[in-house]
Amino acid sequence: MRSARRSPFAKAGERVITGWIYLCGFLSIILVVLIFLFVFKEALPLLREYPFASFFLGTKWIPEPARGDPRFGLVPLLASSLLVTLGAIVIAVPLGLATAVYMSEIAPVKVREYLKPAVELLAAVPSVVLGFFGVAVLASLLQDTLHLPTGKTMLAGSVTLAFMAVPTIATISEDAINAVPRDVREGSYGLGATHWETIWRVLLPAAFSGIVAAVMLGVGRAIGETMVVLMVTGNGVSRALSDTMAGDFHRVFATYLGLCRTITATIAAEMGEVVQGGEHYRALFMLGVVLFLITFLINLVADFALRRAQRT
Amino acid sequence: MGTPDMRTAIITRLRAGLFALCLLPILALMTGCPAPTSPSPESSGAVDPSGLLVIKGSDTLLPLSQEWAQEFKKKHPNANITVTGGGTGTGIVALINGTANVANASRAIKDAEKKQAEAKGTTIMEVPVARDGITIVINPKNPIKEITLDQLKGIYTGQINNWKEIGGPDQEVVASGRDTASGTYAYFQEEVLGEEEYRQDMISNVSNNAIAQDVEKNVGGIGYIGVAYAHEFTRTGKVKEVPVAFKTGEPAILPTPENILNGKYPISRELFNYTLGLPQGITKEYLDYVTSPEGQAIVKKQGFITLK
Repeated sequence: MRSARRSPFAKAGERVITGWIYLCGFLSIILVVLIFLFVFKEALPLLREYPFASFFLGTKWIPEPARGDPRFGLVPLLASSLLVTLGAIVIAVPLGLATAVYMSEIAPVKVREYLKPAVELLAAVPSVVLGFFGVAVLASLLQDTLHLPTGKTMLAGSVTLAFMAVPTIATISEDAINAVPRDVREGSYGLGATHWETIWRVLLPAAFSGIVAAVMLGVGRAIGETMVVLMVTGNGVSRALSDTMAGDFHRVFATYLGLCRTITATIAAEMGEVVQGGEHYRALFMLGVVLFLITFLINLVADFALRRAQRT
Repeated sequence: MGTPDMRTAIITRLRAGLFALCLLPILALMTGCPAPTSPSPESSGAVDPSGLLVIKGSDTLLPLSQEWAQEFKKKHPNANITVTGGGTGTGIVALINGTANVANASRAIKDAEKKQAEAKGTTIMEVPVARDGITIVINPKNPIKEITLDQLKGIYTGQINNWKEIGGPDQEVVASGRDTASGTYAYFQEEVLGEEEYRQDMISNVSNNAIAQDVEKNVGGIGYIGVAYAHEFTRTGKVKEVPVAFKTGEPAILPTPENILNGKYPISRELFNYTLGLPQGITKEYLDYVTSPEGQAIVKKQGFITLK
């Protein structure tokens, strides 16, 4: 609203501030584009020195070989990242959803008052701390109960990642369930549905879009996580995983009881020692590009799911 | 199907969260890059023994290097020294990139690294600072009494997968080693594996300490650790050192200082400090101190082996 009483200075000031806010709005978009361009620019020259197919289809990652040429095979790293995340999701989704349903529908108000902040606090635990827990407690526990040669396993990674994903999934799903209008709930009871039927048949389907979003956020958090997997999974490629890559696909379940080496852990473990501009450096940036594309894809899927749910 | 409000809220949260997630790997990448504000090697070229000295590299040399720096600072209160680990490869890269003045190394420099330095118009100078053996450690419950170099090679290349293959119990082998940034990793590969590749399922650790913890936990575990470090863990009985023989039939030798110095122990090496160009100023003072009898006394005290 412009008024004639305002001085030209005030007008100019207003314009500057509006411009500034406008810029801030765009800053995040500009940043993300610039970062992607930077990572891509650093990664691209790899394909001049190293064949495209050997990177995306290679089954061995040997960046500093004693003899011969280095091998930068993406497959074991990508497989590790996807499998460890899949394991985490299988554990975290039922747990997170159950927590959400309990918090929003079943728990008495008093319990909910304490439970919700506690769950949110769990989301704030630094991942390194969870990593310590994973190494010191979880890995030993798995080793002893399952009689494994070593506790550093993909399963240990999945369980620790699940701890990180549960609070995200639980709190956002709870928001979604809470946001289902009262009429829907009361209508369900009015038609004679029990409490359980209302939750299972009415509330969860109604909140579906929000729950998909929650799960996708959990997936995103798990796949991008570095410290936990670096500490807990041993950072090697187990024989089960090698067998799986060689085509023996039913060994895929055994991979959970062996080591794994994820994309993020590889970048974190090796970035410190590479010469800037070298082949190894470019290969690590290429891993960054792959990771970027994965998170982008997850974003896209989540968005798509939300839009679809909104239309129906 | 939810209110529009709630949907907007969720979409906003989703976008913000995923956006942050997209940044995570990038941050991971960036923290790996050396900071551009670190001192260039030339900045230490002044005659003044005060000034900043950045030492980086081998985790094996780290405790020794820290004590040298501490004692050196007592003599030169104006000197400002920082010592960090990360692995030999990390140290040499930092030296070449100009973010360290001295690289601690537990292996000799590679030709590729020399070329990288030459490409930047400098040469790398080498100063031997101590000797070290590599202790082979196993779990105390493992009854194996000795091991040959060939058996070690078999274990670390993946040909030997069960201890019963070399006269031990029926127990799966769990090999622990260092990450590729480590000089011990590279040295062990060259000396013991005969330049063959490590087994793919070796647990790769970021420190000697983590190797010892692995071996302590895993009954079938085996690891390699620098002698000075290994003392800490063998003394408490958490892990057990195994005598090593050059060949079957030859006597197995323990990594004692005498055996390392006279070459009877099969896996021993020199430890180095590397600089860009001839050391000058505080760098020269420091290296003179390290190789002096006083500096070498600390070598002995820490359980490493002196040069002479």
